[in-house]
Parts: sequence; structure tokens; C-alpha cells
Amino acid sequence: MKNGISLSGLSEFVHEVKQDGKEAQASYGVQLDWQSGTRSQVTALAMQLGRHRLAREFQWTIDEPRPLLGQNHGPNPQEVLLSGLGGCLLVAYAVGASVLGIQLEKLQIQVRGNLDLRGFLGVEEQVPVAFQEIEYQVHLAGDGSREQFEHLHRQVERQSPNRMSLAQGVPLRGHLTIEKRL
Amino acid sequence: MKSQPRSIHGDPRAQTPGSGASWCNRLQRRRLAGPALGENLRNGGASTLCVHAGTMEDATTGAVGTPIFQNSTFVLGSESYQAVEQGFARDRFLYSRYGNPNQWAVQEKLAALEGAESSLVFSSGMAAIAATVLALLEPGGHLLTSTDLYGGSYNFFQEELANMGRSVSFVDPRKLKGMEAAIRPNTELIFVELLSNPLLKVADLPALAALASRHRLRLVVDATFVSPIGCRPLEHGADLVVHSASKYLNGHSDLIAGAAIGSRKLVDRIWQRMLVFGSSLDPHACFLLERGLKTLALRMEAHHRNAFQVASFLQTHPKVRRVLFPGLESHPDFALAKGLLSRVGGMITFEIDGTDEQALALVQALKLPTEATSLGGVESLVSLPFNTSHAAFTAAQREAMGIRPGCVRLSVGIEDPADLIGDLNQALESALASHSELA
Ligand SMILES: Cc1ncc(COP(=O)(O)O)c(C=O)c1O
Repeated sequence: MKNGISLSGLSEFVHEVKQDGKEAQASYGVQLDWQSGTRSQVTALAMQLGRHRLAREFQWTIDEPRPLLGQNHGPNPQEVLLSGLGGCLLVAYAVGASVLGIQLEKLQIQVRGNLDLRGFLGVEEQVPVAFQEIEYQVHLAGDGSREQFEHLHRQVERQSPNRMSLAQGVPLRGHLTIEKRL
Repeated sequence: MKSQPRSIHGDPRAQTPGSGASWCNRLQRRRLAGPALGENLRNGGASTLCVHAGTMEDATTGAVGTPIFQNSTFVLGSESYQAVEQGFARDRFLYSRYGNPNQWAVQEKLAALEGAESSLVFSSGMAAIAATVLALLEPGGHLLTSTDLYGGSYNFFQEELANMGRSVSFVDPRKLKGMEAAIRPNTELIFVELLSNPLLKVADLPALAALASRHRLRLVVDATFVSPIGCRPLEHGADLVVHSASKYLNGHSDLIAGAAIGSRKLVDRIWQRMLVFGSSLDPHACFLLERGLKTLALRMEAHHRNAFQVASFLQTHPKVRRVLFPGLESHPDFALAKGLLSRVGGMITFEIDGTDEQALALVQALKLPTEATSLGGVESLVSLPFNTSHAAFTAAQREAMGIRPGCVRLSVGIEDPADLIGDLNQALESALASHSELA
């Protein structure tokens, strides 16, 4: 299978969801449990794909580096966010290359973002809390033409869900439950 | 003699996804039923499908019936390489673990009989169950299954799944509330047997399918005891049917095989597991299974007719305490069976008015039914749950399940019912008479 992706399986899925949009509905979730200090344990929750549930047995740790008051047990929230963007871009490049019939030899993405922590700390009103900018650099090699790679790059910009979510923003709501003390 | 290689070795209808599309939405390949060597018979009565569906007609020789392709591998061509590269290897003949004309022929017959798009044969019923459950249950996933299960399935679920990162709960599938309460956030699958062993309880498929759909679960049904002649579980909402083809499907007690049958989408997923587990069915065994299936409808009719007569006889016998046959009004699930099963099949469980030792004496006094485990053959087979399928349980545990002392399991064959009844009559007399002498 070229690039490790079954193009036939992808094509069949495309036709399935053309016929039945319900099969394209995906719901994801993660749960974070505070462990200590800045450290959390993340658990992927069961997801739903189409009409069915999909168990997800994945856990990871998020922490801050020591200079940011953590114990450095895992990547920090910004790195996780950037990797969520990068991982989604990577899927889109790999799938898109397969659709175009390109055999990939290299696919590497670096994602970088800048924060001014004065925003989070609230010490300077004018400084934005959000990332000032996120930038990524994609390294591609394979048997595609320059035109094909450029087409792929443009397609990924239009089709990557995480990229689009960050670029356009999505409605985001937080809810609070105050529980009984243990 | 080397004949000109055909460019396509496999399903001539198989589409490629198309190369050089600009994005996913332009890909061309859709899922088709099969794989098959052409359009297959899907409509007709059960007997017609048994005889004709799936048969591979060999144009070169004009042979009647599917020839045996006892080869491990196939000539490769550009079509074959393309199928591997683009991920549709299941539609091409490459290597007999992946697919072989004898597998395809019998798979198409089974798919037609179950009213399904696709099917897959395996080297045993357990191989079919293992590949199916592992394909549909992700690591971290939870399986909801029945307390009444074939021992091999029970062992696999209870002893092996935990080591593979999956969990399982055993519940009474007739208690829907309890079933629903056992569903967890990571539950993905319900697995039940259509007719349970040995008490022949009927699974309420429509109710289970509704429960599964409400909770976004998949429903897998082991229909080994019934066969597609008695019920087509997919029509009642099951996502997949599995069989031990060693039983009724083959019907002659001379083969170990299994099958998983359902939508092409799900069967393709199972096929990927079958490839790596290596549990494909040998071509010669496929030929035997295909031949056996030709008489499935006839045999099931005979099994059912005989079992009804034998069960009716046993029910009136003074030395028989209880007869469990879902075709008799006395069975607790008679109404459900009537709605769900067009034929109940040939399995009877009965309790003699005596002990397990006397039941053993009865089995040994029988001349026609063979004292052997398994079921579904043309010959009657008889065994006792206490020292075979349920030997791992204590007498008290068996009681709690509803298996009381003196319980006998009879797989009624296609012999003349009068002979079977005569034999049972003499064996009952001799086994239970010796008891009174001892007492
Ligand atoms: C209901 C049921 N399912 C599955 C199996 C396993 O099938 P096999 O023996 O072909 O592996 C059996 C076999 O006894 C069975 O009775």
C-alpha cells in the first residue's frame, strides 16, 4: 500500500459518507485529571464515529518545565496544542499525497508558536493572552512534481480540520460544576 | 502447457480508486458486495441458493460445479501489483491465505444464504469468532456477552481478551435491563448465541439490536445451532453472523471450519485480521463445505422434523422429567422462537428422572446416536453437559445455570425418526430400570 494508506479503503469511505452523511460524524473527547502542581494525566475518551462507538485506550501526561513551576514530566499544553495541529496537517499531507499518487520519501513538519507570558500573567493589559503567531514548516520529498506538491500544500491549507479550527476559531464554551468536598 | 495469462485474476467488477485525483472527494472506488467472480445469485428460495449460489463455472473445461484449486499461489500481473499498491488485494487472487476461488465460491454461497454482502471462511468456528471479535473490539474496548456461551467462546472471552487489553461482562441476554446496566462508556460490542447451549434459550434479536443501536454498539450473533435456514440474523438487526461451519453448515461431521458474514465493510475489516492471524480455510476444505451446503436446506428440514417427533416422544415418556426444544409449546421461549425461527433445527436437551450417572448409562445404552461432542451432522450425536461442555463447573453452579442432574444433549440426525424413537425408548428403559434394581 502506497504510503501505508489504503487508497481503496479511503475511496470506499468517501462514497459511504457521500451516501450517508451520518457515517462521517466524529466526536472526540479527552479528560484531564490533576495530579500535582502543573501536571495532569490525560485520558482519551471513547469516541463516536458514525453510528458506532470506538474505544480509545490512550493516556499521556502534560506538565510544565521547571522554570515555569512544573516538574517537567511531559510536554506542556502549548506543545500538545502545536502537535495537535502538526499531527492533523501530517495526516492531510499523507492522505493527499496518496490521493495524488505520490510516493512520499520524507514528510516532516515543524510547528512553532510564540506566546508572551505577560498576557497569561496579566501584568500588561495590552499584551494578548493568545499565541501571537503560529508557523509551520513542511519538508516533503517524493516522486511528485513541484506543481503537485504545491497543489497538495494548498489543499491541506483548505482541508485540515485542526488548522482550520485555529485559523478561524471555533465557538468554545466552558461550564462549571462545583462538587462536594471530599 | 502455459496458457496466456489473463490480465485480471479476481473480481472483474473491482474498481480502482483512480489515480491522480485532486482530493479525496474525487476518488472513484465504491464498496461492492463480494468479492466474487462475477454477479452472483442472491435471490431465490433457500434450496436454490444452497445448490447454485456462488458456484464457480470454469469456462475453459465446462466442468459442472466448482473445481478444486489446490494451489497456494497465483500468477502475478500488473493488475495484481496495482491491487496491492492501492489497497484492494481482497479483490484479486494473489496467494491462497488472502483468497482462493474455492474460498470465494463457498463465501458467496454463505453470503447469499444469510442475505449478506460478504462473507469469510476460516479454519474453524473459533478462528472466525476470534478474528471477528478482535476486529470489532478496539484495545480498551468492552464486550458485553452472555452467561450462556459455547465453552470455547467463553474461554476466549474470559481468559484471553484481558491479555489483549479488552474487557468483558457476562450477563443474561434475556434480561434487557441488566444488559443495559452493564453497558460502559467503552462498550463496543454485544455477542450472543442465537440458541444457547445446552438450554436452547432463544436470543431476542430485535430487542438486542434495538439496544445495540440505541447505545451505538455492534451486535454479533453466533447462529451455529440454527443455520440460515432457520433464521437470518442480519434481517433482525445483527451486524454480523458467525458460525461454526463444522456443525450444520457442513453437516457431515467431517470438517472443521468457520464463517463470518455481514456487510462488505465489516467483513473487510475482519479479513485484515484473518490475514495476520493466518486462519484461512484450505481450498480442499472449502470444496467439502461447499458440497455440504448444497443439501443444507434439505438437511435442516429433516433435522427439524425428526427433532420435533423425538422431542414430542420424550415429552410423553414417564422417565423424562423435562424436554427443552424451542419448537414445543412447553419451551419457555416457544413464542419468541415462533416469531424468530422458521425452523428450530435438530437440537434437543432433556432431563431424565435420574442422576448424571444414569444419564451416562442412557447414553451408553443408545445404539444409534453416537456418544460424541459436536452437533449438526447427519448422524445423531449425544453428550452430557456435566462431563463435557460444562465439566469445569460444580454441580451447584450447573444448577444455578439451569442444568440439572440427568441433563442430556441430543443432536438429532437425519435417520428415520421411528428408529431414533425406538432406540431412545429401549435405552431409557434399560438405564432407568437398572437404577431401581440398585435401589
Ligand atoms: C455455538 C458454537 N460456536 C462456536 C463453536 C466453535 O466452532 P469450531 O469447533 O468449529 O471451532 C462451537 C463448537 O462447538 C459452537 O457450538
